[in-house]
Amino acid sequence: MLELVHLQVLSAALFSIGLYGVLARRSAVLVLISIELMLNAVNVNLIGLGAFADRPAESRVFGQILAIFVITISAAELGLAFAIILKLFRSRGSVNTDELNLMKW
Amino acid sequence: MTESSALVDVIFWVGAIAAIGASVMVVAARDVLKSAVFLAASFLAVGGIYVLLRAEFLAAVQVLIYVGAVSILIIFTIMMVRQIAGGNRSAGPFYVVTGAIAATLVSLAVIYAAYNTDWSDLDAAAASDQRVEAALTGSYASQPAPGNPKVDIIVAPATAAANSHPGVFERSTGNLGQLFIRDYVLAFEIISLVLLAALIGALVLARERRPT
Repeated sequence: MLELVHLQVLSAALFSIGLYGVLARRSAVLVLISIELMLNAVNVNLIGLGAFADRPAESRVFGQILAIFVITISAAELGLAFAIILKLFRSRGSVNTDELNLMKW
Repeated sequence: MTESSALVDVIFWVGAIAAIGASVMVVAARDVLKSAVFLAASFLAVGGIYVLLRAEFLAAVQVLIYVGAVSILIIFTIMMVRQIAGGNRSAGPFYVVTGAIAATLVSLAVIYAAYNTDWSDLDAAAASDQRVEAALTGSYASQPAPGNPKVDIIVAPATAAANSHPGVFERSTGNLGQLFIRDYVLAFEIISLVLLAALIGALVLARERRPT
C-alpha cells in the first residue's frame, strides 16, 4: 500500500543526499548537481502531496503546477550558474569552491 | 488505490531504491562525469515514480528537461571545464563530517515531521485560512459570486467524503492544461519571461570576449 509517508521519506532521503553533496564536495559543478538533486526531492514531495490530497480531481494537480514552476526556475538557475562557472574557469583556471575567495579581501 | 496495489508497491520500491542509490552514487563517485550520468539515472527513477502518481505530464517533462537537457548541459560544462580526472575531491574532512551531520539531522527532522503530522486534516487548516481571510476582508473573499460558473478551486471545501476521491489514480494532464491557460496564465507567461531573461543572461555571461 503506497502511502504519502513513503513519498515523504523518499523525498527526505534525496534532499539530505543533495545537502551532503552541497556541503562536502569541492567542485562547484558537483555543488550544482547536488542542488538539482535537492530541487528534485522537493518536486517529489509536491507531487506526492498533491496526489494524495483529499480533494476533487481538478484540485489535485496544484502540486504538479508548483512542480512545473520549480523545474522551470531550476533550469534557468542551472543555465546561469554554468555560464558563471565557465567564466570563472576562464578567468581563474579553477572551479573549486575553496579557491573562489575573491571577495574575501 | 484499490486495484493492483501489490504491483504499485513493487514499482514504487524499485523506483525509490534506484533513485536513492543513484543519488548516493552522484555524491560518492570519484569522476564528475560519472556523477552526471548517475544524476540522469536518478532523474529517470524519479520520473517513474511520477508516472506511478499519475503525473504523466510531469514524468514527460522530467525526462525531456532533466534527463535530456539538464544532463547534457552538465556534461558539456564538465567537458569544457576539464575537471574530469579527480575533480570530485571532497572539501576536506571537516566539511565531510559537517555535511554528513547536517544531512542526517535534516532527514531525521523531515521524517519525524512527516510521521507526526496528520496530513489528512488539511481541511481544518484551509477552513481556518478562510476564516482569517474573511475576517481580514470583511467576509468578502470567501463568498463565491453567484452565477459564476468557474469553480473557486482553492477554497472549495472537500465536502465529499474521502472514499469518493479514492486516491491517486486518475488523469491529470487535462486539468493541468486547463489550469495553466485559465487560472495561472499570468504566472505561466511570467515564467516564460524568466526563462528568456536567464537564457540571454547566460549567453552574455558565457560569451568569449573578442580582442578588439
